[in-house]
Amino acid sequence: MKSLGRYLVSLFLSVVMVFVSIAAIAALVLTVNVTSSKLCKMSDDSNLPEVVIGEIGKYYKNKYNTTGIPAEVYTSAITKEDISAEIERNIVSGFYSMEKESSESSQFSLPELENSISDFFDNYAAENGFSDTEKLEARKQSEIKSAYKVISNQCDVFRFNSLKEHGVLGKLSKVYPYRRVGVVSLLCASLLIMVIFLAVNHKEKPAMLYWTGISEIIAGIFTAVPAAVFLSSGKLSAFTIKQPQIFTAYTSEIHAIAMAFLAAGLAVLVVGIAFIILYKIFSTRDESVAPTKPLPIN
Amino acid sequence: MSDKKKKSSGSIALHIITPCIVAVICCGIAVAALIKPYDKLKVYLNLAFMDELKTDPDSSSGLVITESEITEEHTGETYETGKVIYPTFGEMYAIIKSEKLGTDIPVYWGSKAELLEKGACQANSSSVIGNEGNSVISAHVDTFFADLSSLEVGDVLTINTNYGSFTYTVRELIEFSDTDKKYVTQKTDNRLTLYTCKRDVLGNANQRAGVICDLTESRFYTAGEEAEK
Amino acid sequence: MRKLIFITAAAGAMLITGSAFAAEAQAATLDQVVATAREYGYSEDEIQTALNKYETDMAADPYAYDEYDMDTIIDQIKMNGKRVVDTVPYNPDVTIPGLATTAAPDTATTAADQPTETTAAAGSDSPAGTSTSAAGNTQGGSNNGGGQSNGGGSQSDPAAEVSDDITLTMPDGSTFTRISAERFIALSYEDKLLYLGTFTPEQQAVFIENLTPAERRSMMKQLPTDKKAEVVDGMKDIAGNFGLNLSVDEMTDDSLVIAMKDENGKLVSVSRAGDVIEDTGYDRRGILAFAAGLLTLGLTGIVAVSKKYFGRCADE
Repeated sequence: MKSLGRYLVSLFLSVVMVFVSIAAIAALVLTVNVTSSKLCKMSDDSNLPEVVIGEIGKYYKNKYNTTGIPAEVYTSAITKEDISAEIERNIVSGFYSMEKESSESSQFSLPELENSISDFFDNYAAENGFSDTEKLEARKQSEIKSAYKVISNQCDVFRFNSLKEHGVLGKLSKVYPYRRVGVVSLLCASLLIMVIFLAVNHKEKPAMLYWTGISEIIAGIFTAVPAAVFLSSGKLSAFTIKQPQIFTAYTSEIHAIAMAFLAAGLAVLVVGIAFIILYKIFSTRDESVAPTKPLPIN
Repeated sequence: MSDKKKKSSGSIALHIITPCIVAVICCGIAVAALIKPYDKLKVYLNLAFMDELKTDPDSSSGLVITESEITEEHTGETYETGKVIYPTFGEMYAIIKSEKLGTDIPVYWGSKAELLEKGACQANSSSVIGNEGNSVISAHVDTFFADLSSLEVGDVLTINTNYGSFTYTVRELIEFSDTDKKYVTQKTDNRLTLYTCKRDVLGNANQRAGVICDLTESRFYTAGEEAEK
Repeated sequence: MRKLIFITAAAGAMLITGSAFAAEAQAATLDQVVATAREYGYSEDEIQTALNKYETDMAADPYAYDEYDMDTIIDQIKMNGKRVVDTVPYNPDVTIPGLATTAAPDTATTAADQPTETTAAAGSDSPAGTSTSAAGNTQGGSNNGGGQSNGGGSQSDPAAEVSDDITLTMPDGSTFTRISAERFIALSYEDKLLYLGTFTPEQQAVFIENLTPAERRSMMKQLPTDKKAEVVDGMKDIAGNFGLNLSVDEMTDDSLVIAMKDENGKLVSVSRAGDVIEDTGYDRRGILAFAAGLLTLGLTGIVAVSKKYFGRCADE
């Protein structure tokens, strides 16, 4: 029954190793792919600033009937660089929130926009003989403040502000700061389990390679197959989000993460297969030395 | 030789069956373990895309879900009595905020399974928030009301709508059977009743648990007729 | 000739004035429709849905509705109310299982013997709308946590009943008492009709007229399916006045769920007779059974492998 005992212990450890490996893959993929620099780069590559400017124009065109302010007052005063900077600021601020730190980035400032709105109101007042400067100034400031809010909202392509307001970032901030520690811990745990395999199967050391190999193969399949199914099923395009910049941002990021999971899963699968091949080589070598014991996995 | 062949084939079979056994066991554990993370992910996604970003017309039942942007920072004057804006069926018209509940909880007017997937639902036979009577709100215990059981007597909740902000204090913790309607019927005092299923491993519960809260502060953004006079 | 013209003109004027007066007396207002709807047990949401539709239609066309439409709607509401509950044959000496009493209710007293008490107001569920009673007990009153046991208990102490009972006043000034709304609501449909039958036809008319909205809703919910269908048809006519379409989502002897849609098919309300406790838990039994099945399969595999491969080795 000793061999059965070792078999059962190794089986149990193999199950544990599968989950530890999957967790390590997930932690590594998210740590590498969900960073502010990656998201900023992705937003630039997807031409999000242009999309945002288009959406801002649309928004103010719709508002024209109620405000009387043409959309060009706003869109002519904002550049792609301004929007790109604000998108970046929102992303960085969001990640700072998750790290429970205060953002060091500069405040959103668009002097050209302020001038454009100010000029519009001044011209309007001059054309219509409006003399109450106090009221005019108040109206100007109110509109400028509103414009900043609208543009910032449109630039919040990953909805970090919304997530923060509704308390989601607060929840994520409990685990996010420990992501690197998590990755290292999980990798160490995998190694530890390999050592335990070795200890349990001390009578047949190559068995460690077998158990590690099957754990990695199963972990690789469990990671790669769902990612592949998700990518091929077209679920991303079924995401119904009205604002195109947010749709693009999220679907691009989710696509990138799914691809990363697929790649990582395949890599772990290959590692597992390599372990099995090594096991076969080493166990065959052992058999040639002591051919009377082909069985079992102890 | 034949013994050796037998042993060899047995060894190969064992080498193949073992990973299948491990895979099946891992599958079973994964299916059970992923239920909660899946529920949490649903909640976070709904919260992220809450504000007028998604329209999901359910053409079969005619349900149109409207997700409005709720005013949370009102800078103007507020009044103790005021005008309620009656919501339409399927409209997200309020947000519940509480420290104990963690994340904000969107409230949809009307009770339907589709609406319960998106947030908390208010029975359209109960009083609109801000009106006299019992406002009854329910949500799934696995998603939006997962932390409802953490509420204690004295805890404060705020409900924001586009016509006002209302503060409630928890007065009583309740438990009742799904056939006992005494907590969801109309009342004469201004109260808020929140309930969800009582946690059960299998998820199929006949018991409900929740809280009754008293209205402690009303801040309407538009004056009522009395205030106007 | 002049005399004839004058008489004709005067008669015409009188006719016109008389018609106008008659029209003014008959024509109902929207507020009256709303009050009648509330009285007959329609929920605030149903009323609000209709009001929203009314306002939308009037904004598009100021002549979309007139006072005669309002009259029609009120008549339809009252007619439909009769389908929910109407007078039943007088049968005073009957045992009502839900009340466990064989005695007929208190005989009507003359106005001279009793102090005048107000007629039970049929209106909202608020205390102000209920009739006076000895202890001022009101239906829909504040929840006292433990809840009240209604109707189902036996009335062993007549004196104790008095505090629950509602006193109603007949047109001739006499009064009679009936059980409280909570106890009435708690009765089964058959017991409700039996109880109603213990009153004289005249008393029944007053009883029915003064039913609270909650009582009417409870009766509506408890109607047999065939009668419910008739009531729902009546409701379809009423809703049709506002351009709303009603469809039945669920109709059994214990429940009624109606969906209201506008002309575009948009769902504007879901109405249920009576309050409902939502199903706020996911049924995980399927998933958990599947997971347990997989685990069992795995364990079975382990056992089989142990016996086949390790048992053989042990023997060897």
